[in-house]
Amino acid sequence: MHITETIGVLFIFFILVAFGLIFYYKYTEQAIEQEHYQQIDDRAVKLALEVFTLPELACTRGDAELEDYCVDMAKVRHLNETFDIHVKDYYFKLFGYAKIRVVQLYPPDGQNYTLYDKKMPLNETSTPDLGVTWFVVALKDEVTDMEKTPYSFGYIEVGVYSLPWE
Amino acid sequence: MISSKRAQLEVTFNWVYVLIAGAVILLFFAGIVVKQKAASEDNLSRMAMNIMDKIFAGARAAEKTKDFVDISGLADYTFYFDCDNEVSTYGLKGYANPKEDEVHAIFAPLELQGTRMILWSLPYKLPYKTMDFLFITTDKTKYFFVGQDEFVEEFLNATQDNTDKRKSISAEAVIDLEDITPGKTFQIRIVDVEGKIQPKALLPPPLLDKLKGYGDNKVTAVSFTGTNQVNFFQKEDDHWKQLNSNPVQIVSLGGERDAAKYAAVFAGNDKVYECNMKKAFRRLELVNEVYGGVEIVSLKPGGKLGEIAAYYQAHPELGLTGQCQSYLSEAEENVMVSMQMHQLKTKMCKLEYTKCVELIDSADKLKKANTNLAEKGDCIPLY
Repeated sequence: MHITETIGVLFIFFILVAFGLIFYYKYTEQAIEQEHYQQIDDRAVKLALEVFTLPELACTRGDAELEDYCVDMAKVRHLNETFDIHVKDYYFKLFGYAKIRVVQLYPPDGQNYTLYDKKMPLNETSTPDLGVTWFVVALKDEVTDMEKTPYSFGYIEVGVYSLPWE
Repeated sequence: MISSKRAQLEVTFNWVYVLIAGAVILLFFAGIVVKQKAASEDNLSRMAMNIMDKIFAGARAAEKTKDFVDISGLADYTFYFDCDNEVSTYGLKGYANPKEDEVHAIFAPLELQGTRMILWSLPYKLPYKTMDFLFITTDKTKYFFVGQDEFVEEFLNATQDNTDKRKSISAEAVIDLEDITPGKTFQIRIVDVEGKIQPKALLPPPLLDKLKGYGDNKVTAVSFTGTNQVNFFQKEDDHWKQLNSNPVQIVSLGGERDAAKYAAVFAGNDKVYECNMKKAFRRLELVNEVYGGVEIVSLKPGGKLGEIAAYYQAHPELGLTGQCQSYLSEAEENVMVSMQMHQLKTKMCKLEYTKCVELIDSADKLKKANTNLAEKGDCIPLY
């Protein structure tokens, strides 16, 4: 009788412990998932700020201040070459696993440029997540037909790659 | 009688058993508390540094504006900043999880304490923008400018907000070292613009008296001497100890808001200054490639310069006098040759830091060539 009672108490005790563990596991899993997405958002914002102030992209006016929200297309056309050559020794430290694109919206006949695209090394079946942010910019192209205005309109797309959450 | 003795032994044994079990349980919980404390301190330092990292990124983007960050919650902690081998490290002193930065130039005192962190970013141009320099200080670091020149006036104008003292960097101009009154600060930095501070020179006794509560490493100085040179000093007992063995060159084209000169005011010592400047020169090499192409060192223009050259080759009649091609590649100091020299000097600077001073001349020539192209020729400028 005494032994049965003890076994019963222990059984209930272990069930409660199991419930506690399951609850704690679920809570932790949710917290980690939340932190994972928070980190992607943080990286995206940080990268957007970085791209926003890149001297490699900015429109200059001699010794005067840089033109805000402006991208120099004469630099953009050659930038992926520099990024490609120096991705390992420099730009990966700056951008990490990310994708940077310059997209022309108006006039609509413009060309789009993928400046940087470094994916995460994953196995063949999975693809990395891409958290994307955009910011609108003027695209300045001085090396163009004199009849045309040097300015067009577009946006910069900045995406950060991350491991898929499973 | 025998049974009573056994009962007595059993009771004693039970008490010993309970005591041991109690002690084990107590130790277990004590262990958890200690581990939890260490983990939460680690967590605090990690979180604080992650937040700082984001704040620094924001401050860099907000060029030329000063950010004031309330760090009163961390007022008892000491932030440290260092730079070695082109890698900046910063964190909370005595805690794990420091942050490392191999790309951005961060100029700050070696240690910081205070209730408000002040962040200021200025673009470094040589001759075009190369990167943003981030200056970091706090309300508890006071800057004393000894002597008078344009730079002092400019610094004070740029950092003092007369309407709201809390939005100012704590700085003051004094005529001589004796006039310095530190007040309640964590550390002081003396900026000598007249070269008054000399190696091994004695500190004036009235100043020594006022600095009694400060450790030697909390009293530092920079002294601007000659053209584009700076020496870093630290108080050692009653005299100044020069930290750099050779004068540190300020590689800049001068003018207002000279980021390289401001950086010397904020940098902890010569090692940190040079380490961060090296990062800027590394970036300059890459920015040069964007402007002049990878093969500009062999006088084969690419990048933006290549495009401009091809454009004027196809349209030689364009420009004010149709002389764009001349300003680009034929005139005595043309853009192409200036760009080539600038990139060559940048590569030499990467190999030997003392050669970096030669960048001033090459940047100046490139600046003049670009001005000729833009103003005299009315052509598309390089930058």
